[in-house]
Amino acid sequence: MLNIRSLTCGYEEKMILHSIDLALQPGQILAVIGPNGAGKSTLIKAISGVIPVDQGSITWNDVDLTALRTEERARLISVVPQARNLPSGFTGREVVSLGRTPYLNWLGQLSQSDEEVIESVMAQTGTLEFSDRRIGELSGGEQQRLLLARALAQQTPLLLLDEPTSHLDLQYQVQLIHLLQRLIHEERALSDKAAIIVMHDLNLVARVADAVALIVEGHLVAFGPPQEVLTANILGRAYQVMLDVVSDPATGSSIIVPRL
Amino acid sequence: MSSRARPFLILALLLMLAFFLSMAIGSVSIPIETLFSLLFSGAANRAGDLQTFATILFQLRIPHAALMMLVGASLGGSGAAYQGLFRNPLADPYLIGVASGAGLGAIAAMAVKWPYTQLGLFAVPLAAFAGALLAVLIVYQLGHVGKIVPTTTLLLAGVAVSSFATALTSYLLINSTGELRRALVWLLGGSTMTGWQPVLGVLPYALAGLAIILVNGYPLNVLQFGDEQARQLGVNVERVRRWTVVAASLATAAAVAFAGVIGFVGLIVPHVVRLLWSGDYRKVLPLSILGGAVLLLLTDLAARTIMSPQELPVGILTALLGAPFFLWVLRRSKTQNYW
Repeated sequence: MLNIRSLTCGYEEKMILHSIDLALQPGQILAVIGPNGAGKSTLIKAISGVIPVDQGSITWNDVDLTALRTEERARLISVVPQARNLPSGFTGREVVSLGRTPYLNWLGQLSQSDEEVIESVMAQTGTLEFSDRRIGELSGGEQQRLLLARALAQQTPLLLLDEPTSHLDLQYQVQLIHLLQRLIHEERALSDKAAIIVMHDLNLVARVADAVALIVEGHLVAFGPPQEVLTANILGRAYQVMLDVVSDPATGSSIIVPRL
Repeated sequence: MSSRARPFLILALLLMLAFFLSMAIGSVSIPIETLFSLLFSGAANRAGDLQTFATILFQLRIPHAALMMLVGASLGGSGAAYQGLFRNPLADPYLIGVASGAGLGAIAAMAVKWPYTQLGLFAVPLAAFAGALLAVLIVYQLGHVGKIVPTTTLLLAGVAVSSFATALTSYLLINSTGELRRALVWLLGGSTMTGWQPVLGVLPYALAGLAIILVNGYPLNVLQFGDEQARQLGVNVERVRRWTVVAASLATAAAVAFAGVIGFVGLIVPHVVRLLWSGDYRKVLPLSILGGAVLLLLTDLAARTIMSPQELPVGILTALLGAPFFLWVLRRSKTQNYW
C-alpha cells in the first residue's frame, strides 16, 4: 500500500503542501479534490519524484519511493499528465511506446513483448486508430487518452492522474471512469493496482472514489470515504460556496449541487 | 532496401560523391584517371606532374576534405543535439552564440600561443571548449522560462552572448600584432592550417563529442515532452542534459578551434533531415552528422572554386545559404512544430 506520512514539500522559496498524511490500499481509487491552487498537482509531483520531499516520507509497500532511481520509480508509478504543450510531431503509437521507457536500454529498442503491451493498452483505451496520426492533429481529448495509454504501458501498480477528464467530453469521461474502475476495482485480485486521481467534478468523485482527500491551501482538511468528506458543511467551507448534497435515489451516491 | 536504411544510404552515397569531388576539384584540377591511379596504385614510379598531383592530393586535398567532413559532422550533430536539449528547432551552435563563445576561447588561447606548436594544438580546442560551455550556460540562464527555452528568448540570449563574445574577440584581434591577424580569416571559417595536423587535432574531440551525442538519442526523444514527464517516464533528466550539453559543446569547440566560426550548418541539416525523413532523435542525430559532413564538403567545394584561384572562407557561403533558410524556418515555425 501507499503510505504518505507528514509530507511537506514544494519549491525552494515556498512550501506548498504541509504535513500531509494519506494511505491508499491496492484496489482503491483515491480522489484528491480542492480549490484551484490548493496543491493537488504538487502532491502528484511529489509522489512521482518530480519535486523533492522536504519532510516526511512516501512509501509503497514499505519501499521508500524518494530513494529510488528514476527508472525504478517509473516502474512503480505512472502519471497521466494534463495534455498541454505536447510535441506535435510524435505519432500516437510513438507516444504510447514511450511508456516502455523504464524497461528499455539506452537505444530504446522495443522487444516483441513491449510491442504486445503497447498494442493491448492502445486497444484498451480505444486509441489504436491514432497509431499513425501525429498528435498535433488530434483533439485534447484524444491526446489525453493517448497519455492514459502511455501510463498504462508503464505497467505500474500505482497510477496517478492529474485532472484526466477535464479535456474529455461526456462520452469519454464515462469511458475513462469505466476503464479505471475495471483496472482498479474489478481486476483487484489480479493486479493489485491503485490510483490517485485529481478531479474537479465532485459528482464524478462521489461515483468512483473509494476515498477522498480534500486539500485546501496546502493542508489536508478531510480524508475518508466519499460519504464522510463530500458533505455540504465540509465542501461549503473548502470552496467558499453554499451547496446542497443530496442522495442519488438510483445509486445511493452523493450529488453535489452548488446554490447559485 | 529497407526504408529505415534508405536515408543513411542516400547520405553515405552523397558523402562519397562529395569527398570524391573535393579530391578532384580545386584551383588545380586532377583528372579522374590520374586521381584513380594515385589512389589505387603505389607511390613508386611517380615523376613530374604525377608527383605534383600526388602532393596536392595527399598533403592538401584529402586532409582538407577530411577536416571539412569532421567539422561538418560536428556542426550538424551538435546542432541537432542543442535542438533536442532546448526543445527548440532554431537552436544552432552559431545562432545561440556557442560558436562565438568557442571562437573567443580559441582566440584567447591563440593570443598566447598560435596552434602550430604542440601546446597550441592542445590548448586551443580546450579553450574553445571552455568558451562554448560558458556561452551555452549563459544562454540557457538568460533564455529559459521555467524549463523550456522559447524561440524569442533563445535567439535574444544568443544574440547577446554572441555579440559580447565577438566584441571581446575583436578587441583581442585589434590589440594583437602580426600572426593573430591571420585569425580573422580563420574566424570567418577559412581554414588557415593545411595538412594532417588539424585533422588529427579535431579527431579526438569530434569523435568523443559525437559518440556521446549519439547515445542520447532515445532520452532526447522522451525529453521532448518536458523534464517533468521525462522524469515520470524514467529518464534521468539531469544526466541526459549534462552529457548532451557537454558533448554538443565539445563537438562545436572542435569544429571552431580548427575551422573557425561556420554558421548555420547545425540549423540547415537537422531541419532537412526532419522534413525529409524523421523527427526521431535516434535518426535525426546520426543523419545530421552525416548530412553536416556532406553539406560542408559541398559548400567548401563551392567556396574553393567560385572565385578560383582565390578561396573564400567557407563560413561566408554557409551564412549566405543559411540566413535565408533561417528566415524561412522562422516563418514556418510560427505555424508548425516539429518534435
